[in-house]
Amino acid sequence: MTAHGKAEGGEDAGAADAADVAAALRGDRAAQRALYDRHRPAVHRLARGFPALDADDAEDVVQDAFVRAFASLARLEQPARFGGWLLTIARNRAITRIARGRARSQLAEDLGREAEALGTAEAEAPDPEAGAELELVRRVVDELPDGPEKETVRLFYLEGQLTAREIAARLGVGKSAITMRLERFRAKVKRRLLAEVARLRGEES
Amino acid sequence: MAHLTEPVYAQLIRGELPPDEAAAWARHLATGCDACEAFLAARPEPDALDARADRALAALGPPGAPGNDLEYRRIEQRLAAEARGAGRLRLPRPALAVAAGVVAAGLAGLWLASRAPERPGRPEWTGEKGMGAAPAAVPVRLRFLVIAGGAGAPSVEKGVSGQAVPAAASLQFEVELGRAAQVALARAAPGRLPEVFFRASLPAGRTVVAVEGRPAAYPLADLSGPQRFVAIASSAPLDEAAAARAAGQVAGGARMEPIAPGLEGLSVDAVDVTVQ
Repeated sequence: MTAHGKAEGGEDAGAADAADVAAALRGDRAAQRALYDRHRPAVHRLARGFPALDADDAEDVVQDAFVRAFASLARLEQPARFGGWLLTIARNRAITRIARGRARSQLAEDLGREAEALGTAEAEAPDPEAGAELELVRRVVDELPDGPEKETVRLFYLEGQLTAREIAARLGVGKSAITMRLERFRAKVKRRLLAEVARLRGEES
Repeated sequence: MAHLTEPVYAQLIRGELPPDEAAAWARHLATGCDACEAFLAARPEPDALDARADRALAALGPPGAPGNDLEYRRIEQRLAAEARGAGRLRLPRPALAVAAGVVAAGLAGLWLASRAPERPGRPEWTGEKGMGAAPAAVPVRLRFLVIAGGAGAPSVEKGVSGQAVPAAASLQFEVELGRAAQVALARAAPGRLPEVFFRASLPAGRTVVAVEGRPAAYPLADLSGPQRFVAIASSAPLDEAAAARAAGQVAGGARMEPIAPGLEGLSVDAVDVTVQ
Protein backbone atom coordinates (compact mmCIF):
# COMPACT_ATOMS: atom_id res chain seq x y z
CA MET A 1 0.00 0.00 0.00
CA THR A 2 1.50 3.28 -1.04
CA ALA A 3 0.57 6.58 0.46
CA HIS A 4 -2.24 8.55 -1.19
CA GLY A 5 -3.85 5.39 -2.52
CA LYS A 6 -7.44 4.43 -1.93
CA ALA A 7 -7.74 1.69 0.60
CA GLU A 8 -10.34 -1.02 0.89
CA GLY A 9 -10.94 -2.86 4.13
CA GLY A 10 -10.04 -1.99 7.66
CA GLU A 11 -6.40 -3.00 7.79
CA ASP A 12 -5.53 -1.52 4.40
CA ALA A 13 -7.30 1.72 5.32
CA GLY A 14 -5.40 1.90 8.58
CA ALA A 15 -2.09 1.32 6.83
CA ALA A 16 -2.90 3.96 4.23
CA ASP A 17 -3.85 6.41 6.96
CA ALA A 18 -0.66 5.73 8.87
CA ALA A 19 1.42 6.32 5.74
CA ASP A 20 -0.45 9.49 4.82
CA VAL A 21 -0.36 10.90 8.35
CA ALA A 22 3.40 10.39 8.46
CA ALA A 23 3.79 12.02 5.07
CA ALA A 24 1.48 14.92 5.95
CA LEU A 25 3.53 15.60 9.06
CA ARG A 26 6.56 15.88 6.79
CA GLY A 27 4.72 18.53 4.79
CA ASP A 28 3.37 16.34 1.99
CA ARG A 29 0.25 18.21 0.88
CA ALA A 30 -0.91 15.42 -1.37
CA ALA A 31 -0.97 13.11 1.63
CA GLN A 32 -3.10 15.55 3.59
CA ARG A 33 -5.47 15.80 0.66
CA ALA A 34 -5.62 12.01 0.47
CA LEU A 35 -6.69 11.87 4.11
CA TYR A 36 -9.40 14.41 3.38
CA ASP A 37 -10.66 12.56 0.30
CA ARG A 38 -10.67 9.20 2.07
CA HIS A 39 -12.54 10.31 5.18
CA ARG A 40 -14.73 13.20 4.10
CA PRO A 41 -17.70 10.99 3.18
CA ALA A 42 -17.84 9.42 6.63
CA VAL A 43 -17.45 12.76 8.41
CA HIS A 44 -20.17 14.35 6.31
CA ARG A 45 -22.44 11.42 6.97
CA LEU A 46 -21.88 11.77 10.70
CA ALA A 47 -22.71 15.47 10.59
CA ARG A 48 -25.92 14.75 8.67
CA GLY A 49 -27.02 12.53 11.53
CA PHE A 50 -27.76 15.53 13.76
CA PRO A 51 -31.22 16.85 12.94
CA ALA A 52 -30.45 20.09 14.77
CA LEU A 53 -27.86 20.95 12.11
CA ASP A 54 -28.93 22.31 8.76
CA ALA A 55 -26.98 21.62 5.57
CA ASP A 56 -24.66 24.59 6.05
CA ASP A 57 -24.00 23.65 9.67
CA ALA A 58 -23.17 20.10 8.64
CA GLU A 59 -20.65 21.36 6.10
CA ASP A 60 -19.17 23.67 8.72
CA VAL A 61 -18.81 20.71 11.08
CA VAL A 62 -16.97 18.83 8.34
CA GLN A 63 -14.56 21.68 7.78
CA ASP A 64 -14.06 22.31 11.49
CA ALA A 65 -13.28 18.66 12.08
CA PHE A 66 -10.64 18.52 9.37
CA VAL A 67 -9.06 21.80 10.46
CA ARG A 68 -8.84 20.54 14.04
CA ALA A 69 -7.52 17.16 13.01
CA PHE A 70 -4.87 18.49 10.63
CA ALA A 71 -3.80 21.16 13.11
CA SER A 72 -3.41 18.51 15.83
CA LEU A 73 -2.02 15.72 13.69
CA ALA A 74 1.24 15.54 15.60
CA ARG A 75 -0.67 14.57 18.75
CA LEU A 76 -2.20 11.46 17.21
CA GLU A 77 -0.37 8.59 18.84
CA GLN A 78 -1.67 5.87 16.55
CA PRO A 79 -1.79 7.22 13.00
CA ALA A 80 -3.56 4.10 11.77
CA ARG A 81 -6.57 5.21 13.81
CA PHE A 82 -6.82 8.59 12.11
CA GLY A 83 -10.32 7.79 10.84
CA GLY A 84 -11.87 7.04 14.19
CA TRP A 85 -10.08 9.97 15.80
CA LEU A 86 -11.37 12.30 13.12
CA LEU A 87 -14.94 11.07 13.58
CA THR A 88 -14.78 11.75 17.30
CA ILE A 89 -13.52 15.26 16.65
CA ALA A 90 -16.40 15.71 14.21
CA ARG A 91 -18.90 14.46 16.77
CA ASN A 92 -17.52 16.88 19.33
CA ARG A 93 -17.74 19.72 16.87
CA ALA A 94 -21.34 18.87 16.04
CA ILE A 95 -22.34 18.70 19.68
CA THR A 96 -20.57 21.97 20.40
CA ARG A 97 -22.18 23.71 17.47
CA ILE A 98 -25.59 22.60 18.65
CA ALA A 99 -24.84 24.00 22.08
CA ARG A 100 -23.46 27.16 20.60
CA GLY A 101 -24.28 29.34 23.56
CA ARG A 102 -20.80 28.76 24.87
CA ALA A 103 -18.27 31.60 24.58
CA ARG A 104 -15.96 31.21 21.61
CA SER A 105 -12.86 31.59 23.69
CA GLN A 106 -13.94 28.72 25.86
CA LEU A 107 -14.73 26.81 22.72
CA ALA A 108 -11.27 27.25 21.29
CA GLU A 109 -9.73 26.22 24.60
CA ASP A 110 -11.93 23.17 24.91
CA LEU A 111 -11.20 22.08 21.38
CA GLY A 112 -7.50 22.26 22.04
CA ARG A 113 -7.91 20.01 25.05
CA GLU A 114 -10.26 17.73 23.14
CA ALA A 115 -7.84 17.01 20.33
CA GLU A 116 -5.03 16.39 22.80
CA ALA A 117 -7.13 14.04 24.92
CA LEU A 118 -8.39 12.13 21.93
CA GLY A 119 -4.94 11.65 20.54
CA THR A 120 -3.94 9.72 23.64
CA ALA A 121 -7.28 8.10 24.48
CA GLU A 122 -7.19 6.14 21.24
CA ALA A 123 -4.18 4.24 22.49
CA GLU A 124 -5.86 2.85 25.58
CA ALA A 125 -8.36 0.25 24.45
CA PRO A 126 -7.69 -2.79 22.30
CA ASP A 127 -8.93 -2.31 18.78
CA PRO A 128 -11.06 -5.10 17.35
CA GLU A 129 -10.49 -5.49 13.65
CA ALA A 130 -12.58 -3.04 11.63
CA GLY A 131 -14.17 -5.83 9.61
CA ALA A 132 -15.26 -7.61 12.77
CA GLU A 133 -16.74 -4.36 14.07
CA LEU A 134 -18.76 -3.89 10.90
CA GLU A 135 -20.07 -7.44 11.16
CA LEU A 136 -21.04 -6.81 14.75
CA VAL A 137 -22.94 -3.65 13.82
CA ARG A 138 -24.79 -5.53 11.06
CA ARG A 139 -25.90 -8.09 13.65
CA VAL A 140 -27.17 -5.30 15.90
CA VAL A 141 -29.23 -3.96 13.01
CA ASP A 142 -30.62 -7.40 12.16
CA GLU A 143 -31.59 -8.01 15.78
CA LEU A 144 -33.61 -4.80 16.05
CA PRO A 145 -37.33 -5.49 16.29
CA ASP A 146 -39.43 -4.10 13.46
CA GLY A 147 -40.61 -0.63 14.34
CA PRO A 148 -39.75 3.06 14.23
CA GLU A 149 -36.17 2.68 15.45
CA LYS A 150 -35.33 0.04 12.87
CA GLU A 151 -36.97 2.06 10.10
CA THR A 152 -34.99 5.15 11.09
CA VAL A 153 -31.76 3.15 11.22
CA ARG A 154 -32.52 1.60 7.86
CA LEU A 155 -33.17 4.97 6.22
CA PHE A 156 -30.17 6.74 7.71
CA TYR A 157 -27.47 4.09 7.81
CA LEU A 158 -28.42 1.41 5.32
CA GLU A 159 -29.97 3.48 2.56
CA GLY A 160 -27.93 6.53 3.49
CA GLN A 161 -29.61 8.93 1.08
CA LEU A 162 -31.45 11.14 3.57
CA THR A 163 -30.25 13.40 6.35
CA ALA A 164 -31.70 12.99 9.81
CA ARG A 165 -33.78 16.12 9.17
CA GLU A 166 -35.17 14.70 5.97
CA ILE A 167 -36.02 11.43 7.71
CA ALA A 168 -37.96 13.36 10.36
CA ALA A 169 -39.93 15.08 7.61
CA ARG A 170 -40.58 11.85 5.74
CA LEU A 171 -41.71 9.93 8.81
CA GLY A 172 -43.76 12.87 10.06
CA VAL A 173 -42.07 13.03 13.44
CA GLY A 174 -40.11 15.68 15.25
CA LYS A 175 -36.36 16.03 14.91
CA SER A 176 -35.90 15.12 18.56
CA ALA A 177 -37.63 11.79 17.97
CA ILE A 178 -35.14 10.95 15.22
CA THR A 179 -32.26 12.06 17.42
CA MET A 180 -33.50 9.76 20.18
CA ARG A 181 -33.86 6.77 17.86
CA LEU A 182 -30.43 7.20 16.33
CA GLU A 183 -28.80 7.75 19.72
CA ARG A 184 -30.55 4.70 21.15
CA PHE A 185 -29.26 2.63 18.28
CA ARG A 186 -25.74 4.02 18.70
CA ALA A 187 -25.89 3.12 22.39
CA LYS A 188 -26.69 -0.48 21.42
CA VAL A 189 -23.74 -0.48 19.04
CA LYS A 190 -21.46 0.96 21.70
CA ARG A 191 -22.62 -1.62 24.24
CA ARG A 192 -21.77 -4.45 21.86
CA LEU A 193 -18.42 -2.91 20.95
CA LEU A 194 -17.64 -2.45 24.64
CA ALA A 195 -18.53 -6.10 25.19
CA GLU A 196 -15.96 -6.97 22.55
CA VAL A 197 -13.36 -4.76 24.24
CA ALA A 198 -14.17 -6.49 27.54
CA ARG A 199 -13.86 -9.90 25.91
CA LEU A 200 -10.41 -9.04 24.58
CA ARG A 201 -9.43 -7.73 27.99
CA GLY A 202 -10.68 -10.96 29.50
CA GLU A 203 -8.39 -12.92 27.23
CA GLU A 204 -5.32 -10.96 28.27
CA SER A 205 -3.19 -12.77 30.82
CA MET B 1 -24.36 -8.08 38.24
CA ALA B 2 -24.02 -4.35 38.75
CA HIS B 3 -24.29 -1.90 35.87
CA LEU B 4 -21.73 0.34 34.21
CA THR B 5 -20.52 3.35 36.13
CA GLU B 6 -17.89 5.87 35.08
CA PRO B 7 -15.11 4.29 37.18
CA VAL B 8 -15.92 0.78 35.91
CA TYR B 9 -16.11 2.03 32.32
CA ALA B 10 -12.73 3.71 32.61
CA GLN B 11 -11.18 0.60 34.19
CA LEU B 12 -12.60 -1.58 31.45
CA ILE B 13 -11.27 0.65 28.69
CA ARG B 14 -7.83 0.98 30.28
CA GLY B 15 -7.53 -2.73 31.03
CA GLU B 16 -7.36 -2.25 34.79
CA LEU B 17 -9.85 -4.98 35.63
CA PRO B 18 -8.68 -8.53 36.29
CA PRO B 19 -9.32 -10.75 33.25
CA ASP B 20 -12.11 -12.74 34.92
CA GLU B 21 -13.96 -9.52 35.80
CA ALA B 22 -13.49 -8.20 32.28
CA ALA B 23 -14.85 -11.48 30.90
CA ALA B 24 -17.88 -11.20 33.22
CA TRP B 25 -18.55 -7.70 31.91
CA ALA B 26 -18.22 -9.01 28.39
CA ARG B 27 -20.95 -11.57 29.03
CA HIS B 28 -23.17 -8.99 30.74
CA LEU B 29 -22.84 -6.43 27.97
CA ALA B 30 -23.23 -8.94 25.15
CA THR B 31 -26.59 -10.19 26.34
CA GLY B 32 -28.18 -6.77 26.56
CA CYS B 33 -28.66 -4.38 29.45
CA ASP B 34 -30.89 -1.31 29.23
CA ALA B 35 -29.19 0.36 32.19
CA CYS B 36 -25.73 -0.02 30.66
CA GLU B 37 -27.02 1.22 27.32
CA ALA B 38 -28.54 4.25 29.00
CA PHE B 39 -25.21 4.92 30.69
CA LEU B 40 -23.36 4.76 27.37
CA ALA B 41 -25.93 6.98 25.65
CA ALA B 42 -25.73 9.58 28.40
CA ARG B 43 -21.94 9.97 28.56
CA PRO B 44 -21.40 13.63 27.69
CA GLU B 45 -18.02 13.52 25.97
CA PRO B 46 -17.46 11.44 22.83
CA ASP B 47 -14.48 9.15 23.25
CA ALA B 48 -12.67 6.30 21.55
CA LEU B 49 -15.69 4.02 21.83
CA ASP B 50 -17.75 6.60 19.95
CA ALA B 51 -15.00 6.70 17.34
CA ARG B 52 -15.27 2.97 16.78
CA ALA B 53 -19.03 3.07 16.69
CA ASP B 54 -18.99 5.87 14.13
CA ARG B 55 -16.33 4.15 12.09
CA ALA B 56 -18.34 0.95 11.90
CA LEU B 57 -21.60 2.80 11.23
CA ALA B 58 -19.97 4.81 8.45
CA ALA B 59 -19.17 1.56 6.69
CA LEU B 60 -22.74 0.25 6.93
CA GLY B 61 -24.34 1.87 3.94
CA PRO B 62 -23.30 3.83 0.88
CA PRO B 63 -20.52 6.36 1.37
CA GLY B 64 -21.38 9.95 2.14
CA ALA B 65 -20.80 12.85 -0.19
CA PRO B 66 -17.21 13.06 -1.45
CA GLY B 67 -15.03 16.06 -0.82
CA ASN B 68 -14.54 18.90 -3.23
CA ASP B 69 -11.85 21.37 -4.14
CA LEU B 70 -13.68 24.38 -2.73
CA GLU B 71 -14.18 22.86 0.66
CA TYR B 72 -10.61 21.58 0.80
CA ARG B 73 -9.32 25.01 -0.13
CA ARG B 74 -11.27 26.52 2.78
CA ILE B 75 -9.69 23.97 5.11
CA GLU B 76 -6.23 24.83 3.83
CA GLN B 77 -6.89 28.55 4.21
CA ARG B 78 -7.97 28.13 7.80
CA LEU B 79 -4.93 26.01 8.58
CA ALA B 80 -2.69 28.62 7.00
CA ALA B 81 -4.36 31.35 9.06
CA GLU B 82 -3.78 29.33 12.23
CA ALA B 83 -0.19 28.68 11.30
CA ARG B 84 0.33 32.42 10.81
CA GLY B 85 -0.73 32.87 14.41
CA ALA B 86 -4.39 33.75 13.99
CA GLY B 87 -4.93 30.70 16.17
CA ARG B 88 -8.66 30.76 16.14
CA LEU B 89 -11.46 29.03 14.43
CA ARG B 90 -13.75 30.99 12.21
CA LEU B 91 -14.11 34.39 13.85
CA PRO B 92 -17.29 36.16 14.72
CA ARG B 93 -18.44 38.38 11.92
CA PRO B 94 -16.93 41.85 12.06
CA ALA B 95 -19.26 44.69 12.82
CA LEU B 96 -21.50 45.22 9.85
CA ALA B 97 -22.07 48.69 8.57
CA VAL B 98 -24.52 49.28 5.86
CA ALA B 99 -23.87 51.80 3.14
CA ALA B 100 -26.00 54.89 3.30
CA GLY B 101 -28.63 54.87 0.65
CA VAL B 102 -29.03 51.10 0.86
CA VAL B 103 -30.17 50.53 4.44
CA ALA B 104 -29.20 52.79 7.29
CA ALA B 105 -28.55 50.62 10.30
CA GLY B 106 -25.67 50.04 12.65
CA LEU B 107 -25.05 46.41 13.45
CA ALA B 108 -22.56 44.93 15.86
CA GLY B 109 -20.67 41.70 16.16
CA LEU B 110 -21.90 38.16 15.83
CA TRP B 111 -24.94 37.11 13.92
CA LEU B 112 -27.47 35.47 16.15
CA ALA B 113 -27.56 31.74 16.69
CA SER B 114 -31.29 31.62 16.11
CA ARG B 115 -32.36 31.07 12.56
CA ALA B 116 -35.59 30.86 10.68
CA PRO B 117 -36.82 27.29 10.43
CA GLU B 118 -35.28 25.48 7.52
CA ARG B 119 -37.55 25.09 4.58
CA PRO B 120 -37.14 23.07 1.44
CA GLY B 121 -36.98 24.84 -1.82
CA ARG B 122 -33.44 24.92 -3.08
CA PRO B 123 -33.69 23.97 -6.70
CA GLU B 124 -31.98 20.84 -7.80
CA TRP B 125 -28.88 21.16 -9.93
CA THR B 126 -27.61 18.54 -12.24
CA GLY B 127 -24.06 19.59 -11.44
CA GLU B 128 -22.24 20.02 -8.17
CA LYS B 129 -23.49 23.02 -6.23
CA GLY B 130 -21.85 26.17 -7.50
CA MET B 131 -20.12 24.45 -10.40
CA GLY B 132 -20.65 25.72 -13.87
CA ALA B 133 -21.09 24.46 -17.35
CA ALA B 134 -17.41 23.99 -18.10
CA PRO B 135 -14.60 22.16 -16.34
CA ALA B 136 -12.78 25.45 -15.80
CA ALA B 137 -15.80 27.15 -14.21
CA VAL B 138 -15.03 28.98 -11.00
CA PRO B 139 -16.51 27.33 -7.91
CA VAL B 140 -18.90 29.84 -6.36
CA ARG B 141 -21.16 29.80 -3.36
CA LEU B 142 -23.67 32.43 -2.25
CA ARG B 143 -24.70 32.93 1.38
CA PHE B 144 -26.75 35.60 3.07
CA LEU B 145 -27.70 37.16 6.37
CA VAL B 146 -31.14 38.55 7.10
CA ILE B 147 -30.90 41.97 8.71
CA ALA B 148 -34.07 43.18 10.35
CA GLY B 149 -35.31 45.30 13.15
CA GLY B 150 -34.17 48.75 12.05
CA ALA B 151 -31.46 50.99 13.46
CA GLY B 152 -32.80 50.91 17.00
CA ALA B 153 -32.68 47.17 17.68
CA PRO B 154 -31.23 45.42 14.67
CA SER B 155 -31.17 41.65 14.42
CA VAL B 156 -28.90 39.60 12.25
CA GLU B 157 -29.70 36.02 11.39
CA LYS B 158 -28.09 33.52 9.12
CA GLY B 159 -30.24 33.12 6.04
CA VAL B 160 -31.50 29.74 4.91
CA SER B 161 -32.51 29.36 1.30
CA GLY B 162 -36.23 28.95 1.00
CA GLN B 163 -37.12 30.90 4.09
CA ALA B 164 -39.73 33.62 4.40
CA VAL B 165 -38.39 37.07 5.22
CA PRO B 166 -40.22 40.24 6.17
CA ALA B 167 -40.39 43.04 3.63
CA ALA B 168 -38.80 45.34 6.19
CA ALA B 169 -35.62 43.26 6.20
CA SER B 170 -32.50 43.48 4.08
CA LEU B 171 -30.20 40.76 2.84
CA GLN B 172 -26.45 40.93 3.31
CA PHE B 173 -24.69 38.71 0.80
CA GLU B 174 -21.40 36.89 1.01
CA VAL B 175 -19.75 35.31 -2.02
CA GLU B 176 -17.21 32.56 -1.75
CA LEU B 177 -14.99 31.73 -4.70
CA GLY B 178 -12.62 28.91 -5.41
CA ARG B 179 -10.39 31.42 -7.18
CA ALA B 180 -10.45 35.10 -8.11
CA ALA B 181 -13.18 35.85 -10.62
CA GLN B 182 -15.61 38.34 -12.04
CA VAL B 183 -18.83 38.15 -10.08
CA ALA B 184 -22.29 39.50 -10.60
CA LEU B 185 -25.29 39.30 -8.33
CA ALA B 186 -28.75 39.41 -9.77
CA ARG B 187 -32.29 39.24 -8.46
CA ALA B 188 -34.72 37.14 -10.43
CA ALA B 189 -38.44 37.05 -9.74
CA PRO B 190 -41.06 35.06 -11.63
CA GLY B 191 -42.23 36.82 -14.76
CA ARG B 192 -39.73 39.66 -14.48
CA LEU B 193 -36.47 40.46 -16.16
CA PRO B 194 -33.47 39.75 -13.94
CA GLU B 195 -31.97 42.75 -12.19
CA VAL B 196 -28.18 42.78 -11.96
CA PHE B 197 -27.40 44.84 -8.86
CA PHE B 198 -23.76 44.12 -8.22
CA ARG B 199 -20.70 43.44 -10.37
CA ALA B 200 -17.11 43.30 -9.21
CA SER B 201 -13.83 41.51 -9.43
CA LEU B 202 -13.50 39.46 -6.25
CA PRO B 203 -10.61 37.52 -4.77
CA ALA B 204 -10.64 33.85 -3.89
CA GLY B 205 -12.23 33.05 -0.57
CA ARG B 206 -15.13 34.74 1.18
CA THR B 207 -16.10 38.32 0.41
CA VAL B 208 -18.91 40.27 1.95
CA VAL B 209 -20.68 42.28 -0.73
CA ALA B 210 -19.72 45.90 -0.27
CA VAL B 211 -20.45 49.26 -1.81
CA GLU B 212 -17.70 51.86 -1.70
CA GLY B 213 -15.82 49.65 0.70
CA ARG B 214 -18.66 49.26 3.15
CA PRO B 215 -20.77 46.09 3.54
CA ALA B 216 -24.08 46.64 1.87
CA ALA B 217 -27.44 44.97 2.21
CA TYR B 218 -30.18 44.58 -0.37
CA PRO B 219 -33.46 46.08 0.85
CA LEU B 220 -36.63 44.06 0.35
CA ALA B 221 -39.01 46.92 1.06
CA ASP B 222 -40.58 47.13 -2.39
CA LEU B 223 -40.71 43.42 -3.03
CA SER B 224 -43.15 40.63 -2.34
CA GLY B 225 -43.41 36.94 -3.03
CA PRO B 226 -40.67 34.57 -4.19
CA GLN B 227 -37.33 36.11 -5.05
CA ARG B 228 -34.21 34.33 -6.27
CA PHE B 229 -30.80 35.87 -5.80
CA VAL B 230 -28.18 34.52 -8.13
CA ALA B 231 -24.40 34.75 -7.98
CA ILE B 232 -22.72 34.40 -11.37
CA ALA B 233 -18.98 33.87 -11.53
CA SER B 234 -16.70 33.95 -14.53
CA SER B 235 -12.97 33.75 -15.04
CA ALA B 236 -13.45 35.96 -18.12
CA PRO B 237 -14.88 39.50 -18.22
CA LEU B 238 -18.55 39.43 -17.33
CA ASP B 239 -20.80 42.20 -18.61
CA GLU B 240 -24.22 43.03 -17.28
CA ALA B 241 -26.02 41.52 -20.22
CA ALA B 242 -24.27 38.18 -19.86
CA ALA B 243 -24.96 38.16 -16.14
CA ALA B 244 -28.63 38.93 -16.72
CA ARG B 245 -28.88 36.14 -19.31
CA ALA B 246 -27.32 33.68 -16.86
CA ALA B 247 -29.62 34.80 -14.06
CA GLY B 248 -32.56 34.46 -16.43
CA GLN B 249 -31.56 30.87 -17.17
CA VAL B 250 -31.90 29.93 -13.53
CA ALA B 251 -34.75 32.24 -12.61
CA GLY B 252 -37.48 29.72 -13.03
CA GLY B 253 -35.78 26.91 -11.18
CA ALA B 254 -34.42 25.54 -14.43
CA ARG B 255 -32.03 22.68 -14.04
CA MET B 256 -28.51 23.59 -14.95
CA GLU B 257 -27.52 21.18 -17.65
CA PRO B 258 -23.88 20.47 -18.30
CA ILE B 259 -23.95 22.66 -21.40
CA ALA B 260 -26.67 25.22 -20.93
CA PRO B 261 -27.12 28.02 -23.41
CA GLY B 262 -25.96 31.27 -21.93
CA LEU B 263 -23.99 29.54 -19.19
CA GLU B 264 -20.89 28.44 -21.06
CA GLY B 265 -17.87 29.15 -18.89
CA LEU B 266 -20.00 30.55 -16.09
CA SER B 267 -20.89 29.11 -12.76
CA VAL B 268 -23.88 30.04 -10.65
CA ASP B 269 -25.28 29.60 -7.21
CA ALA B 270 -28.64 30.82 -6.02
CA VAL B 271 -30.63 31.36 -2.84
CA ASP B 272 -34.39 31.76 -2.59
CA VAL B 273 -36.50 33.81 -0.22
CA THR B 274 -40.18 34.61 -0.03
CA VAL B 275 -40.81 38.22 0.90
CA GLN B 276 -43.87 38.64 3.09
